[in-house]
Amino acid sequence: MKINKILFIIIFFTIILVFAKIALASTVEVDQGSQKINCDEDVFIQIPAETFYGNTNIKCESIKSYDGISIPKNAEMLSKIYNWQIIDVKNKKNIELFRKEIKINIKKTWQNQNENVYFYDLNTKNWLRLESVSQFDYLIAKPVMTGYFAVFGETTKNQQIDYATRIVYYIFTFCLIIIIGNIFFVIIKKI
Amino acid sequence: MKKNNLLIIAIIIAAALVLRLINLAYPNWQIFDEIYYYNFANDYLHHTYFFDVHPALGKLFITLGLLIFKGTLFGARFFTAISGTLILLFTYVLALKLFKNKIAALFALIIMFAETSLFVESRFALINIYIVLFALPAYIFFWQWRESGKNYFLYLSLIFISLSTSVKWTGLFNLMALFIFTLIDNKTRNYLFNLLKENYLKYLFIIFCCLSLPYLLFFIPEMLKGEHFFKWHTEAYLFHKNLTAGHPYASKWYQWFLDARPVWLEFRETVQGNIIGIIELGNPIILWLGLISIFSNIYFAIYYKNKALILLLLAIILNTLPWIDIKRVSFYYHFIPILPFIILSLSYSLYILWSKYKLKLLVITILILMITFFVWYWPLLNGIPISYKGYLNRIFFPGWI
Repeated sequence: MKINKILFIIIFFTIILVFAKIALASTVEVDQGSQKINCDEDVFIQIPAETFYGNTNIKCESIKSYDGISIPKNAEMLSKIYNWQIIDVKNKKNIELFRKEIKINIKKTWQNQNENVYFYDLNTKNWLRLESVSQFDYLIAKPVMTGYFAVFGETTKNQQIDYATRIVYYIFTFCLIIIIGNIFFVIIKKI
Repeated sequence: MKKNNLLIIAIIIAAALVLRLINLAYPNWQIFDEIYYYNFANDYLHHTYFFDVHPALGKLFITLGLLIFKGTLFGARFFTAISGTLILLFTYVLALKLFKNKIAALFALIIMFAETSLFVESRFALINIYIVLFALPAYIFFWQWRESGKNYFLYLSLIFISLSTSVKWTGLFNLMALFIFTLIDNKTRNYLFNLLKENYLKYLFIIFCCLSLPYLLFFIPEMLKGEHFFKWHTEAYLFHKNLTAGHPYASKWYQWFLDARPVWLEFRETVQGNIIGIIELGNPIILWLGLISIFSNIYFAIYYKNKALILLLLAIILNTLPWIDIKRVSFYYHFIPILPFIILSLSYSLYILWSKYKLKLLVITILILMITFFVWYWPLLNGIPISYKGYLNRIFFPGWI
């Protein structure tokens, strides 16, 4: 009877622990005082208190149309593309400055192990890697600017020949010949 | 001939200004220490308290830019770009004063133009360029005082030293250089002694005012946000003293001269496998030849008793010496205030090769090499995407990664 009781307690607590672990694994706690902006059920942005001056309107949503955004061919897109903006309510313009560290939290809904969060730079039309860490089944990145972001799987490095380097090597070699020639000329003159 | 010379100078300075202003708002996010300076400047505007270990003047320039250009990154970087261009002009004027030769001064201007780390420092909301902006006029006015004997040039020189110190305390190292030069140079020593003989209390008071008032004036914004003068100085000093934590881009003073450890202000991989990077790396052709020129100029300074070279060498030595003993973590950008003096030293050596040894082709080749390096590194000075291979091709040494 006693053994049965003990076994029951052990099994009961094991089940509780397993459930707790599963529940915790899919939860990322929001820091105290931080604002949570939901983009959808899988993605949210954490904004600490006093990150901006004045009243701001923060929006984040997944985008339906990829117009104006170049999608890389050599990388696997693992999430939707999201767009987030911070609008200064008073001046009605986008805010560029973050006074505190903002975190983008993306739930991993993919199997790929070598994933990274990238933001889209409209100037160069490039997806640039953000510093990101895995925490339970979330990927947490620190954005440097507002705009588009998404998760991509690891890509191969671009090994294209750099023609500028080839030209520079020719110039360097030519200059070196002139320098050596000049030194040689000075030595001969001295002799 | 005079018109041609002026035209060349104007073209070089205009080109430098255009290169500094072009696409200035890119990267359109804060990089490296901009995170701090941009925020501090914004805090000044919004009367929000913050503690920073550097005096206010450098940050006030960034604040002014934010005020004029309505809080944009372009605004934060604008005055750095303007200052980064002005230092070219100041270097030319200083070279002209010291060497009394337009060709030597032109060489100094071209080398300044081709210097990569000064270019990078001029394009972002960082404050090291402002130390140089005020240090160079201090030397110009000091030399003017030596040449003319008019005391107001000395006062102006001291005011500029004070302004340079109002950006970062390291600006004060220049005062040591000017003071030691005054003691070893007969002309300036006599000027100073005659001044003090006339009425030492009055002139010591004027000198004290020239050195302290501009610094105090630019400390007012700190006081307005609630800082106590002595408490702030104690805290800032203790911060520098105790800052011993390492950093991947930290470097020692001797590595600066060898161009051994640059600072990557930004480094990101793109999903297409390219690299977007901004490196604060000295132009190696300038730094390595500059180092050789220091040794050759020690010979010229001693053998020919060339006072201009003695002043330059003192400026290099006394701006470097404190860093040998300073225990805090140091970076390549601490070398920025020393760099113009190395460039002046190199320009004099090139001038000697040009005029004394008639090696004009050699000098032109060296200048072409410097400019070629600058152009080749252009993508990594501005964060323009390049292929991974292109990035690797530009890394000469493991220390550059």
